[in-house]
Amino acid sequence: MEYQNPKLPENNVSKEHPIKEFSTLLIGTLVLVVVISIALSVAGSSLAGLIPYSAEKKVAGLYDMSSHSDNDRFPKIASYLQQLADKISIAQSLPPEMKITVHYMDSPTMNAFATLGGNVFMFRGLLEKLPNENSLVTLLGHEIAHVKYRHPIKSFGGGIAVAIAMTTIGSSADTNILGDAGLLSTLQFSRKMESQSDLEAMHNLNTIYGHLNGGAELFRIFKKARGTEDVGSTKSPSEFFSTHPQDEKRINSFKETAKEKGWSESGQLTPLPDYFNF
Amino acid sequence: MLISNLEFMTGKKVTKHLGLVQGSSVRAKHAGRDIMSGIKNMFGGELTAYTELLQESREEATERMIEQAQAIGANAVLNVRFSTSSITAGAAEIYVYGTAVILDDPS
Amino acid sequence: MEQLIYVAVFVSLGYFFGRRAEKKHFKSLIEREEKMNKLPAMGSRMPPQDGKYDQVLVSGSVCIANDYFKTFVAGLRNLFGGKISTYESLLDRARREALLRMKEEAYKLGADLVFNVKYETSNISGQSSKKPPIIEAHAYGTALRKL
Repeated sequence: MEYQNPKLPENNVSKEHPIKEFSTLLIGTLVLVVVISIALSVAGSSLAGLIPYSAEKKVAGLYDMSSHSDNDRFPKIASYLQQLADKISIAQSLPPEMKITVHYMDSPTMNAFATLGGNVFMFRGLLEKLPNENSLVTLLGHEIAHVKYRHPIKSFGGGIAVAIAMTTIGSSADTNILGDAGLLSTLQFSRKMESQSDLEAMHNLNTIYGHLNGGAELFRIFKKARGTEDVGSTKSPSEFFSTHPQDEKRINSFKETAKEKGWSESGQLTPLPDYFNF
Repeated sequence: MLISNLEFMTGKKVTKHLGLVQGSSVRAKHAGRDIMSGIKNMFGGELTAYTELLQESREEATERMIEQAQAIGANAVLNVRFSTSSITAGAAEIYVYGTAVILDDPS
Repeated sequence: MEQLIYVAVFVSLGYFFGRRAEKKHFKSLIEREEKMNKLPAMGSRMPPQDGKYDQVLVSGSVCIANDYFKTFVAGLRNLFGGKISTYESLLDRARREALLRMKEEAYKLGADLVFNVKYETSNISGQSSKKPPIIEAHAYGTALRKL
């Protein structure tokens, strides 16, 4: 009988380079995370659309929106904007419980947005660039249409679904989403939502003035602002523009829709009131 | 290749002992099956995902052990033992080892 | 973001130091195995029947910790399923080291053979799945010395 220990082959360890495995796994994980986030945000936003408006109003009521606005310091502008908003609400035939509240912000940021509970924020930086009431109505109508189609709650719901999933997994999610900053800045609407709002804005423009003249002006202003980068804001303005359909496309779709619906593209422009000069 | 957990082969004679040969494998199931098994764990019953997992591991480990035995010129592995250990949650490690030998017909 | 940077730093540190240590360990394992192969270890429980032997229990054990890189890759692998190759080398090293230590002990005692070798592997980092594993491998057998 012979006893021996020959040299054994090294076959119990995989030959694959660890970095290679690491990168494949990392890429796979990232793809998985992105896919799941998208699925969750879609599911969250469609579920959020089912939340009754009264509940949305209550949630929005938890935050003191008016503390951010400069309505008290500019009562004339504020009441003018509010009147326009009421007019547009009727033109868009908003349900009576959807009450729009306009907040004027005395800030150079070139922005305007709608958030939960029918709160619409208008910034001086954008308003001072508007040439006439028609373009202001287009802008305001666009934001009010977001409220009408429940875009803020849908976008909010999508964000929350992702945030909840992230915190469940244990990674540090942006917990700010429920806070003040979350309400005011994280609401990003999809391009589809923006187009829907554009169409609604056109519709109310036609209802109020009987023509669309001045509406496309708004997008030309955006285009110009984007081109020159001279938007004089502290927060990145591109954030606001990025999800909006391309300006050129919006101007074109304005024309196309006008033709399609038989709405006139020319007509008398209504000037802005004197006190609206900044 | 003969694999047995006996120490000898009836009717054959061990002419040479070549020492220990071993194979090991660590595997995991994807997260979806981990979650399903977690749910099933509340109600009892067979966790097919994990049965499969350990089976696959065992096969691979055995394969590796046989590879080693072949490499050193053995024609049988006797006294084979399996051992399972938990390395991390949801992953199973199977280790199999035995004595590689050369068997011959008694003349 | 900050956390991401911490993870990235730990993963790369774990990779560089872990890989260096592993390469060094494998090199030393192969060298020492070559030397120790003159003292055969068997799994068989049947000692040779030719003559008298002195017998004594010998054992060797080692604890090896996982590095951050391996844990991280294994965590990702757990999502997709499949072979966790980063743990294979860890276990392989632990077992071979344990066997070598056992053989070295037997060698010091002047043994000619080691019989009935058995392995024992355990994870001693506790039950928490969040903690990186620490592997303990233990090899034991009966050393035989020809009288």
